[in-house]
Amino acid sequence: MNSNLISLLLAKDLKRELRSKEIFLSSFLFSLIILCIFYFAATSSNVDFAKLPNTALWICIAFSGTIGLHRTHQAELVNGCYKALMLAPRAAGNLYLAKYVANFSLLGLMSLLLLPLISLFFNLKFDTQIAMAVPGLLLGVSGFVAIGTLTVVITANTRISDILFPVIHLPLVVPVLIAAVNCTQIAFQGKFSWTGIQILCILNLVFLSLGYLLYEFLLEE
Amino acid sequence: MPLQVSLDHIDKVFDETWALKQVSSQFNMSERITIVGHNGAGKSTILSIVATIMNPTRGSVSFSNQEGVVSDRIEIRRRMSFLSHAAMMYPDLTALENLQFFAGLYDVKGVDYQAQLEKVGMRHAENILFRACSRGMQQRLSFVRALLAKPQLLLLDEPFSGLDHKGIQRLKSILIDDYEGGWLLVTHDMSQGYELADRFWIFKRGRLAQDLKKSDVSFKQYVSLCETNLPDEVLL
Repeated sequence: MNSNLISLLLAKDLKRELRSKEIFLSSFLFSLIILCIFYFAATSSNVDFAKLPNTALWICIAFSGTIGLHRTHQAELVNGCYKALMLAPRAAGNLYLAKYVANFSLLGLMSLLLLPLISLFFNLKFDTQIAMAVPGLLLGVSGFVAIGTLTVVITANTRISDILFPVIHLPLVVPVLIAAVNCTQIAFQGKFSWTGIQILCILNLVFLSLGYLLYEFLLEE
Repeated sequence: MPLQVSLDHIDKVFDETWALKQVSSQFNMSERITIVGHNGAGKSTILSIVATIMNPTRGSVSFSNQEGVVSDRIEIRRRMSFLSHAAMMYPDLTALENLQFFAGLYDVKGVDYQAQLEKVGMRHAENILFRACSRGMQQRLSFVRALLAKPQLLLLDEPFSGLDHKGIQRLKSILIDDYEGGWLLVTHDMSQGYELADRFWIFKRGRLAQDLKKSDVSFKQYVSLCETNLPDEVLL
């Protein structure tokens, strides 16, 4: 793994995002809206509140994460910047890992910021239930981003990329979502799921390896 | 040593549209070649294929030196740089941040950014966001980006678009006086194309219709060849 390339792309993406705030703000606000809808729907329909935080959290991540990943890639396409990355004398696998780290940093941070809101909306204890959910949450987001960084490139050159990306991406992340949802559900009950964490680690390893190996073929026009 | 590039019977088809048909030629990366042709003649496509970011539908492009074929794409890309009408620079970074990013990407150390910007008359703009620069300023910065890694071969796709007369003269003098490598220059400007080349490729409807040395043709002959239509039986 090329740490220079990773830090270079990460610094560039963070600097860009700090100035424009378009990806983080749009994803986070979208998540906030979903949480509010969940909260008001639940309070008005006598649904068991204890079962909702996990569902709400992962629906927020799945939808706003999809928007965020698509926007990050669209931002790369402006001015043909992505072509410049393709032309760089760098191994495509390393470019994939660098893009993965940059995307994970943004989406990981957004998902961590969702936890206090989940705690507030659904009365969860911050030091036990929420803290225990962090490893499963981050591993789930990592798998989500590992697949998304790959699929966003597959769909980028099509005329309907904004529709095609979620249609391809969301079915592919189902294994990661199932494992991550189970993991955080157990955490919200105050327990820790080693099995869930192990499954998520394996899925991450599989998808990151696939991305590393396949990225070169996807970069060709 | 600059590499030898061989284009061998290259076809490129997009959906059902032929962009290139049976294009074959050889050149050294130190040569200065102008590519001319009408819109849709395949000029930009051949640049992307030489840049190794597009695969031909049929045929091949190969790179070689005295020791044999060079197949390592990273090694090949290290020797080339692309400058097109798309600036390939990030709108939310400043001019200087963009150049620092691309120097890092190409692993270029010890760049005197101020001197590079001064060359294209952009020293005053180093801390301006790229999106706040005018079209001409963006093109000048893009020019600096393309030359940062001191490439052996520049792939230039309409490099002077958006520039004023002074800007064009400045960039041309950098290319002629300072830059030591070769280029493939795509242009619609006949006189610029003639002035900046040792060799010409004239493309017509996807075919390499003429491959000429500057020493063999006058400007008048070159213009006349560019404007001659090939018979339909050759083009189909």
